[in-house]
Parts: sequence; structure tokens; C-alpha cells
Amino acid sequence: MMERTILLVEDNPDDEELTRMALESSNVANRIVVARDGVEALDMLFATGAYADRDMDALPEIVLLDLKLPKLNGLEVLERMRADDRTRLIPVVVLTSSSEEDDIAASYRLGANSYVRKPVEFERFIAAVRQLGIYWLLLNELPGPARF
Amino acid sequence: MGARRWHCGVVIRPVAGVGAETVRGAGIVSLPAPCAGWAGIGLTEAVVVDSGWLAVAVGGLLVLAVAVIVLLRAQAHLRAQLRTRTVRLGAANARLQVSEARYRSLFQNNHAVMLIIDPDGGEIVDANPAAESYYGWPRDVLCRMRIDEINTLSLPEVQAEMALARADQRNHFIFRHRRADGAICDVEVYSGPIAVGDRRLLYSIVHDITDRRQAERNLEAWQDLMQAIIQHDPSAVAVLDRELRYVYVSDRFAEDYRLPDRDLIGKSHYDVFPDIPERWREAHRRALAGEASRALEDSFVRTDGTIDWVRWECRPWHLAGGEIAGIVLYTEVITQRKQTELALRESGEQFRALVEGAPDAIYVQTDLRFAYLNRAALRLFGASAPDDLVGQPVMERFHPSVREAVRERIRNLNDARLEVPTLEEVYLRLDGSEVPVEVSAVPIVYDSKGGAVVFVRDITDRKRAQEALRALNAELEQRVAGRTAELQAANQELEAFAYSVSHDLRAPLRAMDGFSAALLAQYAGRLDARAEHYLDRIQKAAQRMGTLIEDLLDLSRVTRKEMAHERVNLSTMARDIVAELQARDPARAVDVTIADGAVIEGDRHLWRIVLWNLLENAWKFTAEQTQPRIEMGVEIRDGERVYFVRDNGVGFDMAYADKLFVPFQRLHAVDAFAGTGVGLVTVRRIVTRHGGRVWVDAVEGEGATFYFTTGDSV
Repeated sequence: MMERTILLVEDNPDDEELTRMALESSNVANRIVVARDGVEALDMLFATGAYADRDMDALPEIVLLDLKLPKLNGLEVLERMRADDRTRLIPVVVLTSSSEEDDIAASYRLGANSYVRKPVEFERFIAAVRQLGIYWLLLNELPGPARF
Repeated sequence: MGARRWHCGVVIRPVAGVGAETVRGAGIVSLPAPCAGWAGIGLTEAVVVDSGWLAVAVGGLLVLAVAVIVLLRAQAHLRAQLRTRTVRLGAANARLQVSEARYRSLFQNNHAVMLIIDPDGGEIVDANPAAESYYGWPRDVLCRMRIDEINTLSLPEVQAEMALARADQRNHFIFRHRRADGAICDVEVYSGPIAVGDRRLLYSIVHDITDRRQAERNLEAWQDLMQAIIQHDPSAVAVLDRELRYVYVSDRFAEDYRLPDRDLIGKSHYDVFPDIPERWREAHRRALAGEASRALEDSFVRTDGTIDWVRWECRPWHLAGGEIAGIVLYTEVITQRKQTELALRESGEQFRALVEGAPDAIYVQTDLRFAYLNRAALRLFGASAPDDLVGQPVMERFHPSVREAVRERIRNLNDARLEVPTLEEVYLRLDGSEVPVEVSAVPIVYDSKGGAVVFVRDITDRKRAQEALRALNAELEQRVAGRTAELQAANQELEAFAYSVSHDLRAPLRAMDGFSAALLAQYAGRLDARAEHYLDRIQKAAQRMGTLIEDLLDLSRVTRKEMAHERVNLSTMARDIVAELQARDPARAVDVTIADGAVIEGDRHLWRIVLWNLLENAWKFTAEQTQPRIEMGVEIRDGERVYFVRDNGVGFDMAYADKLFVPFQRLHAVDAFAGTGVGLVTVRRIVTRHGGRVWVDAVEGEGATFYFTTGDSV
């Protein structure tokens, strides 16, 4: 995982594919790793459980995090990430259907870098993702040596 | 001069005309009474012994010598005559001597002061020993004095008086005489003419009346004093004589009986008061007969018809001898006092009636005992008559638990005169049952004793009602708590539901739209027009449902969300929304007017939903207008601020107005105007939550105006 990887935490395969399509259409060619629930996402991030043998140095460049997830929800995942030095600085974009103010407020409070509401209209979703790709993956440099 | 004789001061006129001055007392002429016939000679031919008059005397002696010679010649003839006459004279002389001695003794030994005065010049011719001792001058000095040296009147005045006496026109005089010691004495003088030879002198008998005059003056002073005392007596006093004529009257008397003429003295009481009642005349008669009478209250009718009340006393007054001299009337007009008394009694009766008839119990407490109870109080305590309680200790009527507090309160009332504000208490009826009451008390003086008047209200019914109310409240609270719990549970469910809708319901729509878009993009050219049309329809439907879900979430949020209370500027907010609508639809040109200063209290977020919906509607429904106009403003209706959003769009038939605010009701076909039919429902819910109202006025084809109030008081 030496290339820059994107961790997509998403339980809905439709949304997963649509996100891939949106990323592709905005020329984001990075490898996308998908976690189907909150627990799997944390296992992948911290090399625990089924991912215990993963190289801990290989961390994703960015996490696209849905909020409503089986087992552990997105906000809990975010909280754990921000509580751990290894993942504290990984950019997290909350990518969700929810337009609840509470969700938006909680996300930013827990340290999300951005909050993108997935619109029903695919064209607008593409527009939103396109902006993300440009901003985080092409221009931003993360401090430290840690790279996937 | 051995023997005492009548002496008269003689004025010797200087023969040789030496000086004009009068020489008094220069010589004494002896006038032996038997030689009364010679008195003329004696008085005209005065013997001068003064050495200054020696020349004159020598001349006189020469004349005498000639006379002696003449006399000696006639001696023989005379001697014979003398003998015969001597015999006769001897007898006469003896008679005269007896008479003279008698008169002299009368003059000399009289205790009355006597003076012989020459009325012409006022010279004192003789004075008796009583005069000497009275005036304090010896006789010889007195006989050299003139009467005006004694009388305080001037000489001409005295002479005028003496002229009266000499003419016997008046004999009785009151003078003031001066004595040697300088004292001035009041004297009564009896004066009359007396012939001495051919001279007419005056004799005066003088009585000192100083003491009498002093007594008279004292009497006058006493009378003046009495007059003054009575005149200024603050009560109405009249002293009448036996004929009931005023002797003394106090000013107050004239004042009280409105007598304009203050000068009543001497007038008859019955003339002044002609219609004096018979019972008073009777009292006067009794007083004249020696019997005093009086009345503490008596009325009389004045001439103007008004009735006055008097207190009077009528008693006789006596002369020193005990004889009744008249009557004294003491009177006092007490009309005012009487009226006050009557008014007081009347108001007392009124108050008693008020208190007796009062629906609340009222009692008076003195010395910790009942002094008075009204009917309601008797009822309250279950007494059948006042005697059941009057005189009984009030403390027995208090519930034992409050007696100490009550005792303290009564101390405050009776001693410190502090009012007792209304408070609740429990009384005991005579049968021992309890009665809840509301009590207040104020200190009063009753029968000259410090005490309190206590107002008591039976609050049994109120207590019962309060109890019932409390029970009802408790039940209600319980019910509310139950309902609240139910509501909270329902709310939580709704919350969960909304969350689920928010997240999960939209995902399939995204898939429908997204994959349709993918198909259209990736298979372009390989799909015929119909296929593309269907894909387009799928996308539109998915998007519409997305909007619907969005609106429903908004609606549910309106209910779920806790409201903030902040200042919201609707004017600014409306401008922002219009700007957003314009940005979304840059091609449109709408004439938008927004009134300034529409500032209200409420939840900013919710009001934004309201304005968004109304303005978006207006924006939407004016799409087909050639000159679209949208106006947001405020007007005052019935004292209330009414906001409105007006457009000149398609409007609608008011027959359907009631459907506007029902969820999912639309007045236009979906194709004509986008919309879910939830927006206005949300608007109404927000406005209602703020305490306002919303309504609409529209004409189909001409536009619509949405009105709303904000629940703010103007």
C-alpha cells in the first residue's frame, strides 16, 4: 500500500459504487479500500482483528466516513481516530445522507475536516466529490513520514 | 391776749401808701364782746406796733392827746350818764359773758374742724383747736393763711364757691384740703354766712371724708371689677334686678343670644326676649322667691325658627342684708355639642347596623375576653345569644396549637397597638368543632378599654375548594407526567424514525438517480430516445422523492426542535433568501420589495424556513408573469403587527384555501409547479409554535398574499 490509499467506510454497496464513480469521474485514481462497518474500519486503521497482520505503517491518505453504520457508527469511529496519535492527523471527510444539524455539529466537534452531504442528484454528488479530490488529495501534504 | 375771743385776720392798708403789698397778721384787734358797738372804730383805727411805723404812731399819739383833752371836758357830763348806764350794762354784760362763753366753748371744744373765713379775700380769720390738730398748723399760723393755701382749688374758684355759701345758695361742698404734712384729704365742708358786727364772714365746718371717699372708691373699683369679670366671662351670664332688668351682662350673653345691641344694662329681660317661654318665667319667679333652678339640656326656638339647645341655671342674688336683689342667669348654648352628640349617636347606630348585618364575623376583644359579637360571629361560634360568649375568654375559642401565637398577637394589639394582618387560623366552636377562618384585627378602644376589633371569615368552603383543587392539580400533574413520558417516548421514536429517513430513505434514490445517470453517460448512443426518456423519468422521480423527504424532515424538525428565543430580523433574512433564489435562477428578473425593520423575537432557524417557503412559493408562482412582483411588508391590524408576502403570480381559487395547509395537498399539478405540498404545513406549524397565526388571501390569476403574525406583542 505504498500508493496513496482512500479508506471508504460505507455499508451500502450502491453508495460505495456511486462514490467510486464520482471519484473516478473527478480523476481520482487512488486505490480505494472499503470498510463495511465501524468495527471493520477501526480494525483496518489500527491493524486489529481480521487486519492484525497489516503493516501499521500503511495508513490511508484520507478517510471518507459514512455516519450511519452497522456496529459502530461513524461518529464513534471518528472519535476513536482522533483519540489515537497514529490516526489523529488523517483527514476525515464525513460523507453522509444526513442533513441533521446535530450530525453536522457533532462531526466537526469530533474533528472531521469536512462534511459532505450526499445529494440524491448524482450530478451534484460528483460536483461535491470533485472538490474534495482536488482539495485533499492533490494539494495537501500531510506532516510526517507516514504514507501508505 | 389772755382771753380767747373771736379773731379775725385784718388787712391793714398802709396809711402813708407805703408799698402796695398787703400786710397780713400785722396786728391783732381785740374785740371785747360788750363793746360790740365799738367794733367799727376798732377795725378802722388800727393800732400799729410795728417800729417802722413810729412816725405814724407819734402822730396818732398827738391826736389822742387832743382827744383826751376833749374827753376830760365832757367827763363830768358823761360820768353822770355813765353811772346809770353802768348799772344797765352790768346786767347786759353779765348776760353777754354767759353767751360768749357758751359760743366760744362751742367753737373751741368742738371736735369738728371749724374755720372762720373772710369770703372777700379768703383770709382765715379764726380756726379752732380741732382745725389746728387736723391741719397740723398752730392757730396763729392758720390765721395768717388764706383758704386757697388749704384748698386745692385756686383762689378764684374758692371765692366762687364761697360766694355761693355766703348767699346761702349752697352750703355743702366737697373739697380736697392740704395739710401741713403735705397730705391731701377729701373733706366735706358745711359753710354758711355769719355776721360778726357788720361784717359778713363765713364759718366752715370741715369733715374729713378721706376714709369714706376711699371706701367709695373701693366700692367703685369692686363694681368695675365685677363688671369686667362678668362682661368678659366666657360663659353667658346675666345679672338682673328684681324687675328683671339687666345689671350686668357678659359679652358672651349678647353674643350667644345674637343681641346686636350690647348695651343692655337697665333693659328688661322680657323686653329683650318677648317670647320667653313660661317655664323660664316660672324659673325667674322661683329665683326671686329664693329658689335656684337649673336644666342640663333645654331647647328653645329662635326667632328664625331654628332650635337651639341650652344648659342654664337661675339663682337669686342677695343684698348684704340678705334681701333678694334679683336673679343671676348662667346659660350656655350647647347646640353644637348636642348636634355632635346626636350625630355621634346616629353614626354609632349606623356603625352598629353595619357591623350587626355584616356577613363576616366581627367581634371585639378587651382584656382577652369577648366584649361584643355580631350575629355572624355568634353563628360562627355556634352561640345562640351574645351572653353565651360575652365576658368569656377569647383564648378558649382558639385551637390549642395556636394559642401561644395568638397571645403574642393580642399583646401586640392591646399594648403596642399593632394591627394584625390577615392570616389563617382555626377557631373552636362552642361545641368544640373546628372551623378554619381568616382573621385580621385592628386595635380599638372599647368601653374605655384597649382592645381589638377582630374580623373573621369562615373559610371552610374555600378550604374545601382549595383541597379539591389541590387534589385535582395533583391528579393533573400525574396525568401530565404520564402523558409527557408517553410523548417523550413518541418523540424518541419520531427522532429515530427521522434519523432513519434522513440516512436510509435517500440512499436508494441516490442509486436510482446515480445509476440512471451512469447509464445515460456510459451508454450514450447505444440507447434509443425512448430509453433515455425513461431514464430521465426515473431520475426526476428519484429527485422529487428526495425533495419530498427533505421537506418531511424539515416538518418533523419543526416539531422536534427546541425553540430558541432571539431577535430575528425578517427584513435581512428575506433579502438573503431572495438573493439565494436569484442565484439559483439567474435568468429571472423579479421586482422585489422588502420592508425594513421587521424585527421579531423567535427562533432564527425556524423563521428562515417560514420565509424561505413563502418567498420560494412567490418566486415559483410568478414564473409565468411578464412583470413579476414580490413584496414583503408589515401592517398594523387591530393593534397587531401583521407581516405579509404578496406576489402577483397565478394565485388560486379561495375555495381551496383550506387545503393549502394540509400536508401533501397541492393546488397545482406537479408538472406546472414543483413542490411537495409540505412547505405551507411547515410554515403554519412554525408560526403556530411561536403563538402567531397564518392565513392567505388570493385571487386566481392575480396573485396571493400570505399573512402571518409572530406572536410578539406590539
